[in-house]
This record gives sequence, C-alpha cells and structure tokens, in this order.
Amino acid sequence: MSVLIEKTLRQIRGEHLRPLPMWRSVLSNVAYWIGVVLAILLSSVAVMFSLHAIFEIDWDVFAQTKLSWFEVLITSVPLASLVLLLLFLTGSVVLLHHTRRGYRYTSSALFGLFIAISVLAGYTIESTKWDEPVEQFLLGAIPQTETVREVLIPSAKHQWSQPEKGLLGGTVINVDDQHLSLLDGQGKRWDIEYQEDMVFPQENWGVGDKVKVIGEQQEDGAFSAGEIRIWQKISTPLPVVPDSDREEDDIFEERVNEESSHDEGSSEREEDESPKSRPESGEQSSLIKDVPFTVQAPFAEWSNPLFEDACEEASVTMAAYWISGKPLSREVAKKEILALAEWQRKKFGQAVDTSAQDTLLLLSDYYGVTSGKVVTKVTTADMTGALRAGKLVIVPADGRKLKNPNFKQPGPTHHMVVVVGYDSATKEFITNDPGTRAGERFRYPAERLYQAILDYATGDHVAVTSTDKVMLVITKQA
Amino acid sequence: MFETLLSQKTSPEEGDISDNDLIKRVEQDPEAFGVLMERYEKPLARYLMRLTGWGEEEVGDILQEAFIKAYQHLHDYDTTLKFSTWLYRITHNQAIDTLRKQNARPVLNLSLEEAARFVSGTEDTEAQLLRQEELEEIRNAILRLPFLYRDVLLLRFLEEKSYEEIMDILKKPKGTIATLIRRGRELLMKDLKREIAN
Repeated sequence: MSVLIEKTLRQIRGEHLRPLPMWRSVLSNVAYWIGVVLAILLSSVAVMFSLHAIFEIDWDVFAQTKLSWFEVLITSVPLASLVLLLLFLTGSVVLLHHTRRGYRYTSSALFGLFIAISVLAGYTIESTKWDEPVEQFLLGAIPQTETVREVLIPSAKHQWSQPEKGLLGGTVINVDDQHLSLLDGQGKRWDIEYQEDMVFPQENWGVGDKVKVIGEQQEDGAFSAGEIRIWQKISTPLPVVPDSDREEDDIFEERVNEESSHDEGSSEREEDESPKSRPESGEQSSLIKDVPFTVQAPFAEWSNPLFEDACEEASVTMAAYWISGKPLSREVAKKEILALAEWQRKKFGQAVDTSAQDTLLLLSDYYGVTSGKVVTKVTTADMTGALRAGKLVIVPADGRKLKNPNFKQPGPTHHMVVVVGYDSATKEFITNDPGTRAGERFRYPAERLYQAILDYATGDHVAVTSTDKVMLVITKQA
Repeated sequence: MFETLLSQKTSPEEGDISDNDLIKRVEQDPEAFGVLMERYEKPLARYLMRLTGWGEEEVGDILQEAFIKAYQHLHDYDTTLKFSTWLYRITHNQAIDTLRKQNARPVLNLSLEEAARFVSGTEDTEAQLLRQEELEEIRNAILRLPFLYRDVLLLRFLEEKSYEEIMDILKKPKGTIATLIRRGRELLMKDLKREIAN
C-alpha cells in the first residue's frame, strides 16, 4: 500500500469520515428535476399569455390606423411574456444541466425541446377552458395594478381602447340604421355614426354584441366609423328592454320594428325571422341594457379572502350603478366593494356571505335604492317575467351547481349572480356573473341556474338548510 | 477484511471483484476504499502530472483530497458510468480548483514521445513528417494551446479515453467534446506549420 493511500485512510479514520447519506444525493437530483418541471410549466404559461395576446390582436387593423410600428410593437406584442418565457426556458436548461446526466445534452437541443413542450402545453391550455383559472391563479400572485397587468397581458381590450388612435371597442347598447351606441371597457358611452356596409361579417347583430370599431374620434363621446367588426356575438339578437315606465306591449312593438328595419339585409336574416327562432309566448327573450359589469376581484385579487367572498358586494354594485347610470370602472368597483365590505363588517360583524334579505339592505341602506324587494318561492317564469318587465334580478346560488368552467373548481358554495336577460331560443339566462373575469353576459342554461338557486344565510359559509328559491328584484326608478 | 481485499488484489481472483462490489463493501467496511484507491492511484497521479506539470508531492496532495471527496460523495456515483470515469472527473475538478486557488498556470509535463501521440493517427502526411523531425516543436505547440483544448486532447490521446468517457469526465455533451478535439488538433497543426515555416 502506498504512502498516499495510507495517509488517506488515516485521515478517514482520524476524522471519522463517512460517505454522505444517499438521501442527500437523491434529494438534490429530485430538487433539480422539480425545478426543471416548474420552469417548463411557467414557460408554458408565458406561452399561453403570449398566444392569448397574439390571437386576439387584429394585426391588419394597424395598417389602417395612425399608429407607428413602434407603438404597434409596444401595445400589441406581449414583450413581457416573451421575456419571461426566455427567462424560464434558460432557467430550465440550466437546472437540467445540474441533474445527474443533464450535461450530456447541448443547451441548444434542450432549449429547442423545452420551447416545443412549452408551446404545445401553452397552446393546449390557451385553447381549452383552463386558461381562465390558470390566469386567475397566477394573477393573484402579481402586483395588482392596471399597468402591471397590461404589461404582462397585453390584450385586444387594450388595443381597442384607443379611440384617439381610431380604435374603439365595446358593447352595443343601442342601434339603428346609421347610429349605434356602445359602452367601452371603462363604462363610457359612445355614439357612433356608421353605414350597414361597414359591418363585417355581414350577419345579424344587435344590442348586447361586442364590436370593434375602426374610425375617427369626432369629439368627446362621438365617433365616426369606417369599419365595424363583430367581436363577440350573443347567439340571437335580443330586444332592448325599455325603461320601466314603458308598457310591456311596447317591447314587442320595438322588437318587430327593429327586425323590420333589418329586413333589407340578406337571406340569413330572413331565416332568423322564421317563427322557429321567435320566442315562445310567456317566455320571451329579453335583455336589460347597460347593466355595467364588474368581477368581484377587479384586479384579480383572488388570493384575498375579502374579494374571494365579494360576490354579493359586486352584484349589488352592478345593480346600484345600473340604477344611477354612472360608469363603473375597475378602480371604482374595487373601492365600492371595499366600502361595502367595511359597511357589512360594522352592520353584521363580518363580510363573507349575506342572505338575500341582508343583500337587499346593502342596496337600500348603503346606496339608498329602495326599489328592490326579495321574492320567495320563485319559479323560472317569475324570473323571466321580471326581466321582461325591465327589472333586474339577483339570485343567490350554489356555485358548484352552476358548473361554470371558469370558476376555480369545484366553485363556491355560496355565490350570487346578477341576471340581466333571458334567451328563449336557447333557454338560457344571461347573467353578469361576478365570479369570473369572463362573467359579463355569461349564459347559464335556465334549468341549471334555477336548480342552483338557494337561500343561504348571512355568515361565514353557514350550512344551508332552507330549500326556498329566492331572488332580489330591482326596479329602475323613473 | 481490508487485508483480505488487499491480498485479493494481487491474487489472480482479484479481477473478479468489481468496482461496484467494492463500493458496496465500503458501506460496511470503510477500509475497502483502500483497494479502490490502489487500483486507480497510479493512472490518476500520472494524469495529474500531465495536466498540471506539478511534482509528486503537489500531485499527491491533490489526489488525497480527490480521494476523500470521492469517499464522502460515494452515493453520488452514477453506477451507469465506469468508476474510473467518475474518479477522473473528481480528480480533474480538484486539480482545476487547486490551480484556480493558487492562481497557477498549468504547465504540461510531456515527454517527446507523449507529445508525438497528439498528432499521431492523423492522415496529414506532413504531420507524419513533423512527428519524425520536429518532436520538440510539437511539444512546444501543445504548450501554447489554450487549456480548454489541451485538457481534452490529453484525455483523448494520452489517457486514451473514449469520447463518451471524456464527456462524462468533463461533463460536456459528446458533440462539444468532438468539436474541441477537432478544433484542438487543427489549432495544433496550424501552429506547428507556422512555426516550421518561420
């Protein structure tokens, strides 16, 4: 035995050295692999955000606007998401090189492989209904300012909120042959001049549909259209519910007149006018115009329990702002929800759930709206009847039974939604559901929504014992 | 037990005890590690001398630290590799660490015959002539090579390691190893030709 070996063995014996336990080696390798998987998952989410933005952008529109290429790049390309993607991909490659045999693969090969996996996974998430829950989960962890959100998730909404650049988007609240009114993302009303041949695609459209308008801002609140694109269509054109002081018969007259005014159109229109698509008597379609929408977590503060349980506050806020006619921006909605929660804490000692009766108190005692009432033992006919009469309906419900794919599954046990319309052709209630960012004009099968209705008590998720179906009915005062 | 193992080493049956079997025995009898050290002490010491150009004493210190590390991290050993490859990796890293700490430049310690092996096997007929006539020049040219190339050429042509083994020792992809060997030899030949032309 050589001197060196003797010295080494002496050191081992003298210092009582032992091989380090195997679990340390295994744990270290596993930790690196977990890091790799996490980094790839985050890359996939960055791809999802990027694709979401890219798919939504109308690239051809930029040629028709006054935007410079630099502005196009800044406002449309999801630069932040792409930078994050690059960062996560680099991280995953570095981490994989630290695994036991990771060094055998070149960085470029791994980079290519991980890009492919991320794009595939990101595209899969984006093209399924999982994108909303994933987005909500992740946005809960980032700073809740509008700027941060817009930098991270540039979207069509941002692109179409530039009236000064000739790009305006929003929901149609009124339309005739040459004029239409729409509410933009900030709740501002715009009056727009247009001609029929400017609308693409040339198909039936009307109140409730979301449209994109390319044109020129004339003055504050006025816009001249050069082209109108249907952005998001509700399935059948619904009649505008008139002010509550108008007679019910007038509604149908208006609908007939409105349909006649579109008669000069294509044969597709004629099909839509067939008796089959007409509402059945007793359950006519209806849509209450200009009910503003807010999600209960206006800046995706889903991790904050206050906003997680703010469906009642958000529903009441929508109703109150519908009555007042004031615009409801995200900032305003957040302030209102916080103020209502504070008011509840003082009144009820908590701000988690409020029963239908106590929700009515929020409306009457906080906002001073006294035209609301609680109706018990309701039927779907009661609901459609109230809507047809231009009254807003709010229902408490078991969120799990609603089966909304955008909810964090399985959905909240105690939830509240605003019902703004009914589509007799599809037998769906149209709601402003504050439980999801995509809740504006969200449609639920009528039977499903009705079955989910329940009268829960004020408190912190108190078990429901009552089998009563209740609703709040709010009348817009003249 | 350790004495038995040592005696087995010199016996004809010694070859039957694989490195992996010995590693398993180390868990129960730490002294069995002596047999593993004895198997690889000489080639590793020779490799260190070639790599650093240092004398027996300094090389002994590096090797002792490398053996201690190998002993302590025995569970990190990936049994899909040759044990010798893993020991070469630890020894190589220990040498680089020591050089860095001492801010020392490695000086290649090569005989003329060893230097010739860097260019042997090439199809370049001019290189054959160089090998015969200018061995001293070859050794100087090797010394002028960047360490990155010298390191990999040393493992390939003097330690006679395969590309896979070099990949596992230096923890670089096989393609990168192949490129380093090719570029290293190209640089070497270019430098030799220029020196001779001068």
